[in-house]
Amino acid sequence: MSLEDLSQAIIVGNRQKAIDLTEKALADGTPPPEVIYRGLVPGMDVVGEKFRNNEYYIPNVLVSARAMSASMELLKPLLVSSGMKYVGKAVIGTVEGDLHDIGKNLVRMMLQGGGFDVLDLGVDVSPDKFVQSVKEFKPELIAMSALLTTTMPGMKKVIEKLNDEGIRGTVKVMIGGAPITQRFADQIGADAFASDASSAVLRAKELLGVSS
Amino acid sequence: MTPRERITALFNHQEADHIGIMDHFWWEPLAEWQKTGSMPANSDPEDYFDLDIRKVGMDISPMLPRENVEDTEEYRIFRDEFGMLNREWKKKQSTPELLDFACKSREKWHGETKQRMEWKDSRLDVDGIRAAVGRWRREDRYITFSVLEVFEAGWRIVGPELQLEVMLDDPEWLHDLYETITSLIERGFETLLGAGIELDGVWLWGDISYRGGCFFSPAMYRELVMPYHKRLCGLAKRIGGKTIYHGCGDNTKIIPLLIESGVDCLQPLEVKAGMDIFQAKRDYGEWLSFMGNVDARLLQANDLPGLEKELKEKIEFAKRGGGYVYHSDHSVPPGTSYDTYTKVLEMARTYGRYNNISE
Repeated sequence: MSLEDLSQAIIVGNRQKAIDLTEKALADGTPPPEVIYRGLVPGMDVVGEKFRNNEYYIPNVLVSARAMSASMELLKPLLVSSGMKYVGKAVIGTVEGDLHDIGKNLVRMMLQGGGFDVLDLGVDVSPDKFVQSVKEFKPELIAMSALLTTTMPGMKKVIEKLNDEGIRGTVKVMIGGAPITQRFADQIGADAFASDASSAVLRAKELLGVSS
Repeated sequence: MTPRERITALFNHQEADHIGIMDHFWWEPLAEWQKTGSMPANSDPEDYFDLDIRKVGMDISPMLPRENVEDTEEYRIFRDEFGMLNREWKKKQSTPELLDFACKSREKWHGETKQRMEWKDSRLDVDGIRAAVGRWRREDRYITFSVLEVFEAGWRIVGPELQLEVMLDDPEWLHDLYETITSLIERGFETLLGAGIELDGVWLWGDISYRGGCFFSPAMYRELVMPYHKRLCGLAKRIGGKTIYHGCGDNTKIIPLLIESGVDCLQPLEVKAGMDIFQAKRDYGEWLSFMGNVDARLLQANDLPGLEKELKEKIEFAKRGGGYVYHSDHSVPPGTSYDTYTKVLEMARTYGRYNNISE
């Protein structure tokens, strides 16, 4: 077995096979970061590419992300001692007043599949909570989601709060969601807009200067 | 022309006295307009604004007991008749947070949930519907049988993520779920017809798309969803009526498949998702009518010059040869003033007038 087989299990969304191959890789002494970067991440890269090319749709992405998450569950407890280095740290959340989380969850899973360490703040996240998470978790990226036109101004409030606290320069801000446009991102001073979960990973890597 | 004559003509791609007028509302603007006395308290917006179409419905849920789980100043958590655990704000408008679902496995479906989907007379308030239809008939409204289609009803039972996964993992279960829902709707429709209740069409509600297009592939639509959409659209055809399909998101690429399923009118053509009445009418106007595509963000901003431009350009194009009904591109949003909204309806009726046909 090779880590290419694990990538393939991720690509086709075979959860059980992903678990079996992850266990086997660990039993064979493969370091956990190698399982992630040579197994999971290349698999999710292909999933993202297929999604962008309309070969894959949301169901495919979900079953692949599910397989990846199952593998990650096995790897997580081993990462601290293995000296795992993520491609970046990200905080993600749906903005204040907005309770919608399906799109946000998809972006979280794709970011994790792209090698990011992601802190998910959930839904209805206040500017204070976003800012606090930047201070404590020290991410390079904040990803914010909004479903409603009535809640999208919350994104601007987060950016203003980051400015007020003098920490805007420490973190990139990426936004997305049904009513969000590049124009809105420009208006509020966000660093990037992502139209879907797959492009969110690409934008995130671009922002952080990480090669795909 | 009466509303029914108008909508019937338009859906048959004929011009009428003016375009059809229909809308839906989030609760906040209605509460505000009623609170400030702009419209009478407890008034029905469809009656008050003289909208053309009316809807009757039925319960297609597993009929689980509704229960309040948590009640705070800000929000409440409740379980609905689908068994879905929702958290929603009490004082502001938002789609609810979906916390849990009734059926999370094939075993639960076959063991309990499917049995709850059996026909019961209480799913349909025949007497109440007869009374409403009688009143609407006197006003000659266009009356539709309004139900969730299979994808929308399905996710309320099993959850949106699981339903999408099951499309790949267990299509046999999905077929059973959709067959059960479709049979229930067919039974409800037949019951209404059997009770002598006269309907004009069917209105199906189901968000199968988001701003990135359809959630699933055209092949999955054809294999897993289309058989049931065909049967549901077939209900309208049985009474010589039309099927309106409500689908949020960008349905552009899937329109040919919706037409193949038997959809006659697409609604609401969300602008922010990329739907464009000009392109849709040019490409599919021969087969499909349209309802909507008026950008709700302009309503929310009370941008009257922007709204006038939007209405004039879109209506003057979309009304040609019939086949267009005014509607916001989803629902009239919070923040829309009463004055803005009444001016919008006035403009829609003015720009939507056909000069050669008298009212």
